[in-house]
Amino acid sequence: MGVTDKIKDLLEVIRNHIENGNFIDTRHAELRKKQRKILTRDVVYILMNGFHEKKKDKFDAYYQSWNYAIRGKLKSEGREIRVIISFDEEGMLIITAIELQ
Amino acid sequence: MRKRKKQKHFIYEGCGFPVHLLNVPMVRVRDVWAPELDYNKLDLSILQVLAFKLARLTGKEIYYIRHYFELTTTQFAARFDVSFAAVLKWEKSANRPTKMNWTTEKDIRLFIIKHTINKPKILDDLYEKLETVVETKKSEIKIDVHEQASAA
Repeated sequence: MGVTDKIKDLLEVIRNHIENGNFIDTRHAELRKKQRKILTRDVVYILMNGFHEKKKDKFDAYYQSWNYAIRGKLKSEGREIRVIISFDEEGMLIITAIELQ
Repeated sequence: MRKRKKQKHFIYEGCGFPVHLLNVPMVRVRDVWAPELDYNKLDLSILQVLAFKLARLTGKEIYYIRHYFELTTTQFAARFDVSFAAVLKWEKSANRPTKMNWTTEKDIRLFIIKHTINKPKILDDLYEKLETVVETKKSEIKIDVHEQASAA
């Protein structure tokens, strides 16, 4: 499968990456600026329990890979969060997380 | 192939408050350096540090603990026998100590230890017993003097 092909069993692939600890949170610059304070733990919760929001997937031409949108509600608060993830040759990347309300 | 390096000091904010990490493996992805961490292990380490922290817990730390255990404010309040408003007030303290009752804070710390550390069984048993104390209305104190003497 090339990086330009979309992953079909996305949620299962995400779950495997999380269970194996094979993901990189690239949001640290955002977190340092105190913007979008969504805990890494919350992001993981959404990825494990959310649904694939296919309409919001976008192809990143610069990195030649798909950015996928996973959306869900935090059990601890009911806040609705959308997490954008992607993949490179070595694993899963958390690109950003957005609060929807 | 990702580029990698080791960074002596990195301030991790993914738990809502700064945590100073030392000797952190870093990886370059999408033009940024990001820490290459096992977040499950990191969360456990942070929780254990909080449980043994030699200062009162702050609002953000309470928020993190509550989120780690996936509890709503209502569930968290019920678990520690306080009001929903009290939990909100603690969390609003942000980076300042919550000023919660010390007994409650000790209970929160014990709760963390119970759920994160493989500790001696005796502490585990004690904690299990303490959890049911509220439910038990009457309890008689019984001491087997013979056993006590043998133990001595």
